[in-house]
Amino acid sequence: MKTIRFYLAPLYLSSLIVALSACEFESSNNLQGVPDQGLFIYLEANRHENGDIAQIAAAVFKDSEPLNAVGGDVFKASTNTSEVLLTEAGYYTGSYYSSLPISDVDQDVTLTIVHEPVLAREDRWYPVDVINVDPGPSELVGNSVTVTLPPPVVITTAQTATPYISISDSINLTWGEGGEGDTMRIRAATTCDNGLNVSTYGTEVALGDDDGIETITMNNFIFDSAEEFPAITFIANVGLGMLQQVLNDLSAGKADPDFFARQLPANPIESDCEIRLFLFRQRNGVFDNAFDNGSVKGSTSAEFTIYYSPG
Amino acid sequence: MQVDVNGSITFLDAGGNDDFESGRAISVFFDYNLKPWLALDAGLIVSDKAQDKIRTDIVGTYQASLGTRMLLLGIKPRYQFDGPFEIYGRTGLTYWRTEIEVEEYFNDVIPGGVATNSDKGYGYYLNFGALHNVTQQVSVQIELSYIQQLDVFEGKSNYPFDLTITGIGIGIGYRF
Repeated sequence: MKTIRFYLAPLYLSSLIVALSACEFESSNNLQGVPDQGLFIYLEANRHENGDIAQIAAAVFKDSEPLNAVGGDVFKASTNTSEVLLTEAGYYTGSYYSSLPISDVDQDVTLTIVHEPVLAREDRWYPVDVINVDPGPSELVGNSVTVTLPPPVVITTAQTATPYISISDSINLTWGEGGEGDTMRIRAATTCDNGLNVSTYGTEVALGDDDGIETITMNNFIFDSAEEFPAITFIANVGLGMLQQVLNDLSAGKADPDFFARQLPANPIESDCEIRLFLFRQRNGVFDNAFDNGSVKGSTSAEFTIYYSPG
Repeated sequence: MQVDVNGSITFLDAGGNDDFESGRAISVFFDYNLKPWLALDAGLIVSDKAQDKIRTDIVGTYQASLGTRMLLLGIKPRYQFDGPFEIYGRTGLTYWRTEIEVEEYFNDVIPGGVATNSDKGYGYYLNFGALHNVTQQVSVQIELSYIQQLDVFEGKSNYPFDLTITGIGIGIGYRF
């Protein structure tokens, strides 16, 4: 009888409870389409502003619950010229991240579940190649998903100089159109300061088709934390880790690891806020039949920053 | 000639992200006096298994422990003050056998297990101590020890390391 090498860690529930208790409203899960039953694979591989690394985020869900990779099973992301093991656990148990060196000749990123009992333990202090409790590979080992990175995002118009003063203000955004079938999404990393406290959080908004133009209102990023159900979508789950990975790469690893912990001592609507907006172009990839469903995307992104000052 | 028996608290450092709890060791030294101030020093040290802290990573939850036995051969210079007090040092080479045991668990479905391996090699030691002669034959002593085991698992593994063992011990000596 085959064993399942991935499992639900109780830590997931506790971390979710901690995350939810840190705020007064319930966060939505931006990971759509996770079935109640069966295996679901998530992968996003992103190249930011034509950089030389791609941010990789991956997770597997079984019966809608995230699974941990254990026993030496690990995700491996690879291109034709480089590969990396995703040995860093993400914000939520069951999600894994890494950065993958990438060049212009690499358009496809493949994620494979491999069994690497030694390499997965490389951070340990003792000789893991001669002292190793290896349970062998799970049934998921060998399965893979592949994504193609879409064309780079080029932002052509965005009002960034003048601060926005109201959450009803609109941002007129244009960008160079990409390939057909791609979709656009904005993820925001916002820092608000009321003079006494600082709040940091992440939100996102789906823009739909890659048509090169969008008008977005500030209430997608700035909200009143006194409201019970603000009209805002917080980044949750693995998407959160993806943006954290982007911030890490942009700051040479010095990004605040708790940036998206959503501590909100300063009410954003009453504070001066810096909003780093990351425009993502996303393209669906393909996954093996071993998975019942999946959200598998290659993406490229570009950043611009706007400011909110209620006056 | 003199026989020393010490009980020690030991502290292990494998040079990586290890974080051992303190361990215990017993040492027995035999000294053959070459001169009034210098003796040939031979010893045996046996430690219990020092436990690393329990850790969880993306592979599983594990705990490593390390035990070691050492033969020591060197010299022991000493200085006798007026009265019953004396200070001394020990230095020389050590031949060691070190064993690491790792206990690891994954989840309720996948069984965990224990893996063990050992290595032998050489190193050196440098001890300092002070003693109080209770009688002409019997003394009590306190001793600080520094032992370096070099290249543990070198040649067996791609991940060798140097093991540093420091300790503080008390014991008794008997001259005959």
